[in-house]
Amino acid sequence: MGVLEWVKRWVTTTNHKDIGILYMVTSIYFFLVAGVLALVFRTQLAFPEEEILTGSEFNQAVTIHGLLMLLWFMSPFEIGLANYIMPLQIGARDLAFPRLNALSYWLYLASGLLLVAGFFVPGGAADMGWTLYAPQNVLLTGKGTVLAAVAIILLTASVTVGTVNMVVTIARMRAPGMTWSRVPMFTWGVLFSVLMMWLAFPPLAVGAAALLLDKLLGTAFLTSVEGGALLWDHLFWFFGHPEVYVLLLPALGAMADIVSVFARRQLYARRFLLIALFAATALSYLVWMHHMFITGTSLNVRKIFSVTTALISIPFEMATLALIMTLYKGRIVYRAPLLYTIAAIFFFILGGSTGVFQAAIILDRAFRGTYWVVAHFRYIMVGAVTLGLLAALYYWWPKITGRLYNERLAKIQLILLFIGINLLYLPQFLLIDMPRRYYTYPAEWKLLNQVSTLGSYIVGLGFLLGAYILYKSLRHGEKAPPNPWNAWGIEWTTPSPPPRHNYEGQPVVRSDGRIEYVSEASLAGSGVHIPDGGHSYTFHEHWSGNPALIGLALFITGLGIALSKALMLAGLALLIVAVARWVRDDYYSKFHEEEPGYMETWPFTGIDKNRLGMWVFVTSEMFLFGSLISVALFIMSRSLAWTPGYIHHDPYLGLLNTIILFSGTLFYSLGYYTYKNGARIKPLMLLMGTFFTGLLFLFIKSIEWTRLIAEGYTLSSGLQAQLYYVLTGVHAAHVLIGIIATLYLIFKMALDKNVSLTTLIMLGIYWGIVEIVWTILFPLFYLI
Amino acid sequence: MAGIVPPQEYWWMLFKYYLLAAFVLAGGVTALLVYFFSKYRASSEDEFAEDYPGPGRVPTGFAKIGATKYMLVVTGIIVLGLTIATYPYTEYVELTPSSPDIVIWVTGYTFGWRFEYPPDLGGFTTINEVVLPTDTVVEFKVTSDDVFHAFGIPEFKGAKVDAIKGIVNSLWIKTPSQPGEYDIFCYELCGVGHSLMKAKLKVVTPEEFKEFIESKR
Repeated sequence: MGVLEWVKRWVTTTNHKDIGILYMVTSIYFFLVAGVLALVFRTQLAFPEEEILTGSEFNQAVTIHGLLMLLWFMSPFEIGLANYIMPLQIGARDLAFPRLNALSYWLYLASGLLLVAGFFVPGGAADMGWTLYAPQNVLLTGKGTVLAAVAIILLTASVTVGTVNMVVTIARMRAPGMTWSRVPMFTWGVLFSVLMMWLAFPPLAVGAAALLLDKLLGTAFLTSVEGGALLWDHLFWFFGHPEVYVLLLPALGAMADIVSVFARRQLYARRFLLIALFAATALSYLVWMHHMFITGTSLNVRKIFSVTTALISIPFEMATLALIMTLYKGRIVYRAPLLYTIAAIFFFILGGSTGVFQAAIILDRAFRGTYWVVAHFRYIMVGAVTLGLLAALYYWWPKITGRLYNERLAKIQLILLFIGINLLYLPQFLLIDMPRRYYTYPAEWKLLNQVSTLGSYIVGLGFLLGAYILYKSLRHGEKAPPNPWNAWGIEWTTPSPPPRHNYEGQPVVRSDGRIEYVSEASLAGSGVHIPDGGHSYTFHEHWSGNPALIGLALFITGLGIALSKALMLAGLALLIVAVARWVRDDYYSKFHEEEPGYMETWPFTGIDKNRLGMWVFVTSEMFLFGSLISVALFIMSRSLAWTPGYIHHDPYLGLLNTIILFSGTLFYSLGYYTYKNGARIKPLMLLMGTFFTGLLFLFIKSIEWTRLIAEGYTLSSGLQAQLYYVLTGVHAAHVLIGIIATLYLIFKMALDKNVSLTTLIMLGIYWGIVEIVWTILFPLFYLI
Repeated sequence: MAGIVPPQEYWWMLFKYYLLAAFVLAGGVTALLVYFFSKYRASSEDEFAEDYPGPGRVPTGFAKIGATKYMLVVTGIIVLGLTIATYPYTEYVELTPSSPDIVIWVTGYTFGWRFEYPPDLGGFTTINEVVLPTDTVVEFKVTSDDVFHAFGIPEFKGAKVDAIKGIVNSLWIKTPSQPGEYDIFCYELCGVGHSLMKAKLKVVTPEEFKEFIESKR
């Protein structure tokens, strides 16, 4: 295979295993960048007055280190592993939406490169800590922070698309007999993780957008007293705390599977554990204010959050005990993946119990902003999550690469990491007075810092050894059998590495848990739909360069936003081309994958994958708008100078627009029903109605805006005006996208192409959301 | 003000209770982990427990939860109980005694701390140094001129609040009965000068304090 062929394969692939590998390799690259940064600033901290880094460089290093490790290494590594392993675990042949999966990856790559590109722009990379606190993120930063904000927004897009894919795949593509109660824990962990990302990322994207607007257009969302520091705190931590569990749960799930396999026992109290983790997922949205115990919010509110924070430790204690109790009366074999898991559990106990300290407001007052918090967080993130992920990597490595590795060296690596991590982070618990992110410090903390730095070198050595082990395995490793561990699970019944279509035949789980392979034809019961008319399964080989092209276009646009308008316009032009190519493929049904009718789909039996996907997506859109509206209400409640909306805006014009938008949606639903009943001309006319009412809405909106600007009511007229323009602007953009999509359907219908009812329903759901949002925006800005 | 307990004493007391609970609970769980891990070793790779699903299968059904649920209840009660038991102390630390002896306004700026003495002591301002008499209840009213800072005196555990523009956060301490010097740091990354944003708290005898006030008038 030539180099060009090779490049083409990886750029255009949509196969879940390829995308999984791309994700993992890219995340390891970002891990290396972040790891080297960590070694550099640990070296700076080895002496109180060291001068390797300036204050500014130090701040950039810690900021990019934190952002990369959390958002561009850990989570994407887990998504990569999930991409590869999860479909194999549940008996699927790919994810539900292969091309969207590729899009998630390319958006992720583009966003990560944008963040790192910050080092090469004037003013350097983002430098206000990974939490990017306001208002310093606006007032004291350079172009790097603009890039970071763009990167976060792109990452949110990637994560949202990825969530849709993962949820729909797990909900609707499980092999026959792979009921919910039999789904392996790693897949459960991934599901919980994406369910948290689903609603946690939109507020972060809104925060990043506010940051971007403040930096570029001079709005005052994060610099004003009304919004400012507290607004950012709420948006960031509403995302930030669930994010911790986002990172933890896939690793925890993998650890649960590993413990069960190597203790040769069924996982202890699995049902109870699932209930506990589900509770933790829900509760994770209600603990964010424990990051704000000393911001001066009401004591009663903080007490509530103190209790929820203490409560959330209990599900995780349950998880720990479940893993430990699985060992009880097991037949433990001491293989490398298990040893890593045991170490991870140990670190999790340590990190978790120090977390309970921080739930107490009075104790937290002393911990906040110090190395105690750093140590606590690292014990979870490095000790538990990263070692858990290494366990998962060493567990599934033979499956992914088809090679075994040197387990003895892997165990030596674990010893290095175990010693290194403890040397690195235990002293930091004792540095309970030392403020975080100091690049020089009083001499009294020298010894503890030096021990910590020594630990970081040992950890670095450990990872170096890990790289050697994996390299050696790839080059000279012994060929792996399908099941090197005597493990249960579908993924171990197919060759290592699996064929491109994952299995020969379709795996089916029998009622006693046996995995059998049958031909698809034999699954054809009464009314069960088999793709390709019941012939034996032919793997749909598809590929598309469009996801990568969209990624490239957005990378250029992102660079342009920070650096030059021309570059930005070029990027946007490329984006339009890429999206048009994508839509063209759809128009000619070039990219089409039917759902086999025999998969486990409960409780979504009546909803096909596209509709389920749309609902997941639309809910996250609702959260995006919900966060935007919350921002408006937050600022409104703290503003003394908020004037009634009807002073600036004509309520009758607003009412007219409301009626117009409503009638557009009415036309649309009538169009759907007539189309469903077989009419062809009527729905076309009705959809035209939707199209023109949408245009009319935008036209009236533009009249309003022109008038307002002529009156001098602009982005510089204060927060109220800024909120009005941003919220109604985002809404108008959604209307515009709706109009374009409607036009596409009109064309498809008019040219006598078949438009599926599902497609019509999907756009209908979208119009519904646009409608609902307007019914909130209209009174918010025009009436009160 | 002799009867007033310095807030950090309660902090240390609670911290020690938490440490004790953590050592007992986390230590117990860790001991269980190590014990099970070393005790139940297999004699060969192919030896399975009766409930192991085994290769070529997936787990069906759910294993029961046994005594673990009692352990959960007990630790749950301990954790929640501890948290709620801290509330009276939290209130004590957070709410300044009704009439503090001295109220000082503290303003963070990039990169330093400005201290404003009350009008009855002369209403003067000092930079990066605050002088206070021994055995006194002092309230700091903390805010910021520009970005997000956090004002903390590490020696007085729990004496830390965020300094945010537009918001005034209160913090109180009781100065020790002996003169001494204490560090004040900024605990929120606020820019390139974050590490240099330090101040000193000087506790002096009442006589020295009187002289200091006179010298400023």
